Amino acid sequence: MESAVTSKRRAVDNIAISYTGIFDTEILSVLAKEIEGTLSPDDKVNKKVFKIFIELAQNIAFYSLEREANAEGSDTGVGTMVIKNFDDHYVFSTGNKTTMENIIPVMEKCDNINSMSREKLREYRRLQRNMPAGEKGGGNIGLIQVALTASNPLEYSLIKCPDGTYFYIISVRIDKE
Amino acid sequence: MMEDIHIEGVHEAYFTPTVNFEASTGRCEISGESYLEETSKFYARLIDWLKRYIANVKGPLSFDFKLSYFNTSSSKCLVDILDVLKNYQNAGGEITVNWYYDDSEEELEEVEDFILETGLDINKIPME
Amino acid sequence: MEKIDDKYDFSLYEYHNLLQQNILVSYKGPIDERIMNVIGDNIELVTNDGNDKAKSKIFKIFMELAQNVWLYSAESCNTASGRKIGMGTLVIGEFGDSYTFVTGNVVRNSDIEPVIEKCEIINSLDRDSLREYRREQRRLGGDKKNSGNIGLIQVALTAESPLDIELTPVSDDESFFSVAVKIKKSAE
Repeated sequence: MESAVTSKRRAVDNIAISYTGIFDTEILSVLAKEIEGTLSPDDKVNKKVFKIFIELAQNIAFYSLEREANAEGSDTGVGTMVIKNFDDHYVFSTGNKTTMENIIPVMEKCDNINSMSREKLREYRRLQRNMPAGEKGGGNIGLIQVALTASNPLEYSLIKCPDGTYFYIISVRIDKE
Repeated sequence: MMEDIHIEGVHEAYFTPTVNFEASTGRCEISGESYLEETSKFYARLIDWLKRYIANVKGPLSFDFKLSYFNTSSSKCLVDILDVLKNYQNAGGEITVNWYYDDSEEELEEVEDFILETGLDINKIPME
Repeated sequence: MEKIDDKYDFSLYEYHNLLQQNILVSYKGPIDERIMNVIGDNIELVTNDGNDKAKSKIFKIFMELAQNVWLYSAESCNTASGRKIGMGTLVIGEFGDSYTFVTGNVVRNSDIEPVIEKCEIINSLDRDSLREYRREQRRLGGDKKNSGNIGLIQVALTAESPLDIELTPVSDDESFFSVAVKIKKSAE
């Protein structure tokens, strides 16, 4: 059975926690607690992964092209989150469906963020924070925050789906201390 | 006579910080975690209180931030609070701001950035 | 800077892509009360093509099998408070006129052999014999592991379909054990 095969692969793929489904508030809060409470024995690392999770998971909830109604009937994004555990680091990834039009600015932001030094990035965050409030700006700070928290570049990839939409994956490495 | 604000922190689907603003002493504290459904609305009430305190009570303000976690939307609102405090200070108000941070390089940086961002003097205190 | 893991990106896509075809919810990680609750609520939500009977069947099966993951998982993590939590995988899929519920976890071969035997017995029995088998196992009463066996009988009775089990070795003394059951959307 196909799904059993998937489960099996997950067992041997270094996956510590993974989730596919709707990214509604209830599930996000439980996943956040699992990360905070069980991921590693190092609270500092858990907190980093937790912070990155909150920012990137919110992006899926808001922006994923694939959407479902949650228990309250409100429209929520569907996506996938995977945390892989390696000897000296974790890799946190999220993936969701998108369109080329919507994702180009996000990829540009990632490139921009990756090109900056830590000092520059902090300056950029200060600048963004002083911009007038709005969800768009918020998402932007989110990515800066992820890069600053991880102290590693944002790696992304885009895969064309058979239905003509795209699947966007963003991954970041979190070093164990 | 101004009212106080007391909000009990909640750690459920969203995280509401604990808030204690005391009009008689000017002591204000925001602690716990801040990850809210309606971030601006939550903080608008706090900012409104501060503005009324500054306009009417005109007393000293001692502010303690003891947040172990806040998301980026909350951080924008925290800057708004700091801006209000800075403006009051510029106008001659007596202000003390203590920021308790989780003992890590990244969190210390974040406080330093708040200082740079707002020009406010903030005491950086590591959390126990 | 080297890429984190090129192949990895594609596997993430594959996982997600299954969702398009037939995976409704999938979770791998610590299985505790919180996850049970939230995934339990989720099941209700995603199985909206099924009738009420089908939904309640899936929920019952979910509760039994997720508990088995607790019981038998050889892979675990510790909470800050020192509590040990079993790790496992839960997948709810949709295939035509049925839902499929799959659980999987790493087990010690010595623990799982008797369970596999039980599954084989369960799959060979007709409904009436299965009910008798349940009565007999209940009378035995006893320990946690035995209640796990009754759980499997219960799952087969609820699903009205055989237990599709798979055991894949991951090391000399451990294997990945998965149980899949099918539940008709128009359950009676």
